Amino acid sequence: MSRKSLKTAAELEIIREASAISVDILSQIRAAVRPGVAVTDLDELAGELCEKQGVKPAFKGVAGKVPFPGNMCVCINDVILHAVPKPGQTIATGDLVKLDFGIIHKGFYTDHCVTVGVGKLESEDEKLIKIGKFAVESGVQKALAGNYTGDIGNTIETIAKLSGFDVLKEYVGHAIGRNLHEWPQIPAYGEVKTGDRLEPGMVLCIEAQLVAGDDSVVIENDSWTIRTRDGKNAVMFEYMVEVQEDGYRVLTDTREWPLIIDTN
Amino acid sequence: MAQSKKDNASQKEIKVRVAGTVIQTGQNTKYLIEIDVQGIKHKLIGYISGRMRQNYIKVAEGDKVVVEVSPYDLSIGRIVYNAKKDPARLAAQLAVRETEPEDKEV
Repeated sequence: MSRKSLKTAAELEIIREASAISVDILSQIRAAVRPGVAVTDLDELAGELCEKQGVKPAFKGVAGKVPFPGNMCVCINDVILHAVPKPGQTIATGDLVKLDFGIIHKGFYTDHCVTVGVGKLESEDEKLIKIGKFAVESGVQKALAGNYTGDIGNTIETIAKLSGFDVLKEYVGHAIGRNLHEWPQIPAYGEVKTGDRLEPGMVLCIEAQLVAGDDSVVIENDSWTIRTRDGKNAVMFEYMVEVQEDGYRVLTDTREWPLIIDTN
Repeated sequence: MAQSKKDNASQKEIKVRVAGTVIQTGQNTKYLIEIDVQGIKHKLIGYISGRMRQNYIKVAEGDKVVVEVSPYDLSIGRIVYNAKKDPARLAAQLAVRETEPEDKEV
């Protein structure tokens, strides 16, 4: 299908370069997360770091009802994704903080997300964050040439549901390249052997939002911020993965990062 | 959606495979299995895959097995491998085929 954009070796080289910068910036943002820090400060930090590296934040100005105003999305607890940084909002101990970030480097986009627990988490939240990471990583392992997007979704959904959680259906993973969202879409649910066939040269953003309660969401008045309807917590993980002839490669390798930030 | 025999026999591991322990043998070659996903326990009814049945592989209480599950019905699962009481064999069966290449040029 012509809509699938397969990357050439030269393009992949740039994407790898961009991913390395993106991971570096996100690690510095992650290091700044601690109880009491304001969300707007993290957002500003993201902007500064981008400027220092000579790259542009990918999310700023993304088209919507109003263009997205922030440099990154810092979503706390029941806010799942696309959070607009609100002045006065701070991070507290026990929060689940989702850091969703991306850059534009030489015309190529990156997009990835990690969830961190701040300090001591409640046992249910700890389970959620652990399973969220495990589910998305299991999905990533299915990103092999010849598999289908449904295989990835099926894996994520099965693991989430076996653990008593659910995945969001409205927001899906996607391919990435010269645009933030490219074909094919990768839902975090589905049946095996359905959807689009994965081919070598694709660069995918495999993501899933796991929720502790119901999977219905509400969009706030700012037209961006998305919360769970029942106010239960959610986590989100996203990895950029390159599909290769004989395997896959995680471009934004944040898998080794500890899930919980020690506040002491 | 029915899968053809050829699909089942192919090497690709597509369905989700999880580790479980048989906690009770039931009638009609059904088994009560407790599966473990990252420390979270879940119980389901397991039945033996056709391939295991053809090869007369027995399943007894306390055996460690690999179960294939689907998100559409979490109450049943298909037993595809029996590691007996040996956790090492179970781990080997579930091991990820790490096809990720090493960093060479970057």
